[in-house]
Amino acid sequence: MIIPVRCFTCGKVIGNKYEKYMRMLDDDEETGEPASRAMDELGLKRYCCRRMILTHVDLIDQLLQYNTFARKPAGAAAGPGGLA
Amino acid sequence: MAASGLLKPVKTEIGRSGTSLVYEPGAPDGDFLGQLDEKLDIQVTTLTDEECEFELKGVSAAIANAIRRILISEVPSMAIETVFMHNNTSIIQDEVLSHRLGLIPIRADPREFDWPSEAAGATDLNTLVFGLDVTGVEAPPSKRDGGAGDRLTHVYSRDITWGPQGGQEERFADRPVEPVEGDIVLAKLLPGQTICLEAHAVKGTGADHAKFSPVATASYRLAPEVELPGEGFVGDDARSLVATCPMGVFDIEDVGSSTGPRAVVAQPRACTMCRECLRPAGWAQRVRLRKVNDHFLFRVESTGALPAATLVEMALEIFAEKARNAKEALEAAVAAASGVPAGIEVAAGGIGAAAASAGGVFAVGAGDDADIDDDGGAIAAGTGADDADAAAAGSSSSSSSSSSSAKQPKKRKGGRRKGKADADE
Repeated sequence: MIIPVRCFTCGKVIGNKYEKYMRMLDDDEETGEPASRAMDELGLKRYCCRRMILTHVDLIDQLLQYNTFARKPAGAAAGPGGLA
Repeated sequence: MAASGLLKPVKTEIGRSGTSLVYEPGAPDGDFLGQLDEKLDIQVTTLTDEECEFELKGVSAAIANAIRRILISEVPSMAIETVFMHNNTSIIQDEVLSHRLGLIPIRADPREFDWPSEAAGATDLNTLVFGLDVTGVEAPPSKRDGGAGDRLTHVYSRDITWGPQGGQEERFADRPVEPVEGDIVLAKLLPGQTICLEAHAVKGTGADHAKFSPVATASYRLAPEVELPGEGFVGDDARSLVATCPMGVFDIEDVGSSTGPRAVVAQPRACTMCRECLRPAGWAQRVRLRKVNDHFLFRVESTGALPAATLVEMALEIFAEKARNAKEALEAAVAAASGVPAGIEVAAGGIGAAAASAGGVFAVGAGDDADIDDDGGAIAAGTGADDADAAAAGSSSSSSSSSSSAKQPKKRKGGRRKGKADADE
């Protein structure tokens, strides 16, 4: 649904790499570079970490379309926060 | 103790059909410490804060693997363990969000914290408090979304704020506690959705939960040894050998002699033992692939809380402490078996003496008592010391069974060790 924080196998942090990866793919589309370049550049050496990024589908963007809170105007659904 | 005549395997030959051990003729096995002194060698090949690569020579796989396993599951680090959810109207469920928070590496030295204990509760010596309070807002149109306006608010690890407790603000004035990576996506919010929580981070080990593991990851492989025995490869053969290897192990050495180009092993470390070079007819006899059985190429990647090299040092200290514990347990067991009635008072006396005489069992981090009293003891205390799996040598069951009573009397500050003898007293 949302990119996992760590690689399931080795524990490397990948939660901060998916957004960069998608941006790199957009850039690469113009230049025709393969997806492997983006992963190499992100420092993903092992195939366990590479599959985390390569095979991820960020479904959360679609799931958010079906949330009831979405119809409320901004601020109306804000809960009682209050933590300093 | 050296059993002369016993052959010690020194290489593993990789052939077309399988692997076989190659023995060093005449090398006696046994005399562990003598051999260790002679052969042990560590060389660091790559060193950054995130990554440490080193070569460990002259020890058995049992010891190399013990170091690897201690790095993964017994060197401590700090991670979020408890989350107090005040409000969460996002579509990331409470437990999923809590799990994600736990996995964030935190830049804090675990050696400066006590182990969590029920008796002490949460104090400024053993707990870090973080807060997260985000509400989704409608983002103004930006270039990135093509001017449509991004409705989603991304919650990042940098949004987590550290709330210093007690003396923490002073203790960590020069190095504020924070997530190692600030741009980890934790959740995405629609306008109006809220996440409000308080999170407590404590010290723990990877044996308890992988989030406490300070490495990602620690591994080793045996050093490859590639040889071209006999006449080697010349001319077209040499060129096709170079072309056959996908890892680029071989290169052409053109000496300008009458024989023409000759293949040489240029990058033996690059070999992955894929055996491509053994497949063409007859080449299995002309290329020799071997692994050196006591030469380990280690690679340690830190999650960022501590430099990778520091983690290796801490692992060696824990290893030495475990070896010392095993030795004490053995001595106590021997003392008990040789007629002294077993009991806590007796064990206490016996161990006090044993501890005084306990030098380093292994050369690694060979510790005297000063070594233990510094931070080594504090680190090792409570890190699964109960499974005295020192050296992972397979003999742990016998030593650990006798260790619970034997280890207890040793004085140690800051530890949370609760031996059975504690309760007995």
